[in-house]
Amino acid sequence: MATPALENQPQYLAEATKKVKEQGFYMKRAMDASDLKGALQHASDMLRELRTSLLTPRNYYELYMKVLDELHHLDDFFSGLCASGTQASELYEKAQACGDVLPRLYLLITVGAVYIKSRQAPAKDILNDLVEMAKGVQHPMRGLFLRNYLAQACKDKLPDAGSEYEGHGGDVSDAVDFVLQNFSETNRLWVRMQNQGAKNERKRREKERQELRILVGTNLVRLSQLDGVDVGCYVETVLPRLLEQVVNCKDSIAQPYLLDCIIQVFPDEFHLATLESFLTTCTQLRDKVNVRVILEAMMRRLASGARDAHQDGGGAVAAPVKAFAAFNSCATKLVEEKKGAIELGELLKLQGALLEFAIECYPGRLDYVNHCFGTCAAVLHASRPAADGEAPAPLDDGDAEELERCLSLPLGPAIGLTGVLELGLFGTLVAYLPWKRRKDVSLSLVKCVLAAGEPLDSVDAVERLFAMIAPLLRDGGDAEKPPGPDDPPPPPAADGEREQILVSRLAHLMVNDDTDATFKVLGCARKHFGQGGLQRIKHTLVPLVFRALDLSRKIRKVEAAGEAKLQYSSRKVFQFVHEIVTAMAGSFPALSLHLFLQCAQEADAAGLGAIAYEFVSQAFILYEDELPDSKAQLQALHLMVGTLLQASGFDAPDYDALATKTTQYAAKLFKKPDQCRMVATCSHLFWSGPPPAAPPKPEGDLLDDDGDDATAPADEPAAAPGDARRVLECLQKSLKIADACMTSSSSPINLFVEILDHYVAHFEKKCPTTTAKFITGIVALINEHVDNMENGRGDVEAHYKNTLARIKTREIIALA
Amino acid sequence: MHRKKVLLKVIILGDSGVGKTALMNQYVNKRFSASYKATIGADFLTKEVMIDDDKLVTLQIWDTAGQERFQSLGVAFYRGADACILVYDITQPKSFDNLDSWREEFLVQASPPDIENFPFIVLGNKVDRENDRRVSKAKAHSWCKSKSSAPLQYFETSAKEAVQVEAAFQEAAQLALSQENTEADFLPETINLGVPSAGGVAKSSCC
Ligand SMILES: Nc1nc2c(ncn2[C@@H]2O[C@H](COP(=O)(O)OP(=O)(O)OP(=O)(O)O)[C@@H](O)[C@H]2O)c(=O)[nH]1
Ligand SMILES: [Mg+2]
Repeated sequence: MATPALENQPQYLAEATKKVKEQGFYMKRAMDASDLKGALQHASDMLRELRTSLLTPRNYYELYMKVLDELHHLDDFFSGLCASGTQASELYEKAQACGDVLPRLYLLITVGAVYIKSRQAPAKDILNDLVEMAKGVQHPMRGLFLRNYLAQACKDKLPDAGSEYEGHGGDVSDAVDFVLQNFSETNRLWVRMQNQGAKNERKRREKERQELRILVGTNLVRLSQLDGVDVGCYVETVLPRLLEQVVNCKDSIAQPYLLDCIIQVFPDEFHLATLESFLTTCTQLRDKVNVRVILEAMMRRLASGARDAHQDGGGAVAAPVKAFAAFNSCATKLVEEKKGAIELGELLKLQGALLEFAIECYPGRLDYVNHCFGTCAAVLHASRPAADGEAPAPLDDGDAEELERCLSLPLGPAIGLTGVLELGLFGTLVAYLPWKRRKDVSLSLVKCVLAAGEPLDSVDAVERLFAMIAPLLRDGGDAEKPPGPDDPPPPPAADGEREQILVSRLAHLMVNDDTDATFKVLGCARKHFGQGGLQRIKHTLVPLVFRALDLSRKIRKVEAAGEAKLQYSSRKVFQFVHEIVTAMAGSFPALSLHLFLQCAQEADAAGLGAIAYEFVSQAFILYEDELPDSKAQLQALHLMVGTLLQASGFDAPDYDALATKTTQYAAKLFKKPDQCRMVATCSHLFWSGPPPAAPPKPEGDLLDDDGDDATAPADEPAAAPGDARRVLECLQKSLKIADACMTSSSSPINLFVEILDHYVAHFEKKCPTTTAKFITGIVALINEHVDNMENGRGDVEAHYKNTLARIKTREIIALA
Repeated sequence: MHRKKVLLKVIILGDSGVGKTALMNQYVNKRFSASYKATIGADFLTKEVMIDDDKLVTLQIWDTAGQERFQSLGVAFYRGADACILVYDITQPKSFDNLDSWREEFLVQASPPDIENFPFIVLGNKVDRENDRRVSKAKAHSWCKSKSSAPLQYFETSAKEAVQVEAAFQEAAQLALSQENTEADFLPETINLGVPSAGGVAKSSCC
């Protein structure tokens, strides 16, 4: 085949088009003059332009379209002649007389269509004649277009079932034969192009073939449009003949294209009825053909059909019951037969497609998923055999991506924890991934379990789940394999943090009505989380503590009811949390202090005063030894005061020791205003209401005096009970500190007002030491400061006014 | 004897699966099939239509492949179109988003004489699946408004239940007629048939 010169294409096309139009014009003029001979003459002159070898396929197509527009008029003309009495056979003979093959065949087809329409001969005979005669053109491109014209001109003249030409004109099998034969010839021409022309033009020839392929495919569309082609006919006749062509043409461009067309143009129910033979053909293709792409296309088609049928509420196609087995055995065969010829990535992609198909069409069939995982594992094992205990050679990135995709596919919203735990080979496959991907896929799994919200309620479940998400629980250097050069450095902290927060949320799923079982689950989780290193336990252990405290409450209820005999008591649970928090204490003192106090509250509420005391003591030790800065100290003190105020079960001496300690810490805070406020707050530790006949307190200075000038009023009540005396001590001390905050430029009036509030509160709670006299004293002090306060302290003034108003309305004391 | 009939060429464009073939079949053959059969290349059906109660025209309706790989020879059949029907699926936003590129591609390839006023009709198909709708009518209307000074005609159709199909094609025919694209017919400069043609086309004597 001569090679069309690309640079001259526009010119060639323009010239040919001009001639087509010119001859078309004269043809129509002849038609207007009812000059048959002239019309045929100009038509064949016009058609002769299609004999060109100068045009590329696309340009030839354009010219062909122009010719078809003109032939449309010729068709009208012939039809008119027939309608007014001319014999179609006579026209047919006249057309035969044209000397050039290509124009003659175009004319014959045009007349032939009219001939069939005239019913002066059986459709099947004429069709047969035409399809045979078309063999006269063996030049591939010209032949392909000629046969395209044949199929198009005759498409509505086939003796299809229900067509007007059925019966006398033939039957469906004639229609099918015609289209199939035209298809075979078209395909033959198309495949033959490959072997024509110079060897060094192969690339270009292949490109041209790819462009021309639709001329082959449209024949298949014609087949699929025949009403007479029902499932039976498709199974018996159509598909076998198509597949025979596919296999026998032995052409690696034609094979995948034809199969793709078959998949796309025939309906799902046909495919389901013939899946096995289709898939068998898939294993008989040239080695160069990518079978995976074909299988994938078929699976996608069937899956989307199943989805549509589902949406429409039971449409045409039932779920493809045996399809999975069929695709699977085809995939297996490919692996076996083409061992080595198919790349690992392709095999993984094929399994990915199979997984997608299984998940879409058979939700809940985890055996299918596991089956695919099994295949992946086998394929991977074969591709990189590793001695026991040794890590397999790493995958290249593309393969790893495919494997990760396979692993992620089943992790949809539907699978749930139970389903996830059934994925037995998950961990094995994950181990082939590089570290970053392992983490990503583990994280998808965690998200999926969290979203499903099924309880994680047995040690076995925890063990299995944690084995699957091991990459999130431990550092990259797992026992067997220290982080290699391929493993990226640990991810930025923020990433890891988000990751661990998700992991930690698993703790919320660890619930079971059986408290003993829950305890064991928590213990198991603790064992695994505990190996995670500091950056992980900071997040993962905390929710475990809270879950355990919840559990302790539940156990207490059971214990109180006294019925069931429990293996694990609430005391045991407190030991458990004590141990967890102690393990964290060295690295996260502030956090652990908080946790200890939480535990203390819970133990106190459980009536386990001694245990509560132990927790608080631990918190105090942390306060003294470990807290990093004054801000942490201040926060810790607030928590400590809160805990003590809530506690009810401490022994009196224990409580007193703790309250005293707290107050001493308060007085040692770094910033004076903090000291002042905290000490005042501590006053509440010593008075919560009229004394319940408290035993006398040990005497002794509560607060070390730091030697500042005493500003305390001189008339301290002498016979105050111990606690009340300490209340006053605290308040006086804080006043003193406030006073010390005074500078020439600013006065700590806000502190004074806050202290006043504390005095009033105690006064209201009938603390005998906080007398009206003190209150009037402070009010006077504040008034004095307010007078020479600079502007812009409106908030303080407002606060103060509020306090005064309260004193007034509640008639606390009469102020001057 | 050769009577010149008015032939109007209408092209249907849109993504694969939006229902182009189904719409044409419903309009021409009054049939609908639930199963998908892909279109390869392009194919036309013809139908005689009466316009304004007195003009009989032949509509040549071109159904095209939405899948790009089935259009490998290019789109020479766009040439000479008198109207273009753009179809999307109201349950597939992507198919709506792609209308722009279908329209632009059409204008480039067909290069009609009056690009500004070339008649397009827009169909939102599959309204029988209203519950799955993911493109609002308002959105479609505003797209139609944005495309030319006079908003493009918009129809919500169902090929399945024959909703607005007739009306849409009728409107297309009407617009096509008003715009009939008379591609410069050949006009002989001189009647001079004997001159051999230039170029390399091999010629041989004819019938
Ligand atoms: N429910 C519903 N389904 C429709 C409608 N129109 C088409 N379909 C279905 O949508 C699928 C695709 O329709 P086609 O007409 O083949 O789509 P197309 O636009 O021709 O697709 P290509 O040929 O690939 O470009 C088929 O399964 C049709 O049955 C409709 O109005 N309603
Ligand atoms: Mg179609």
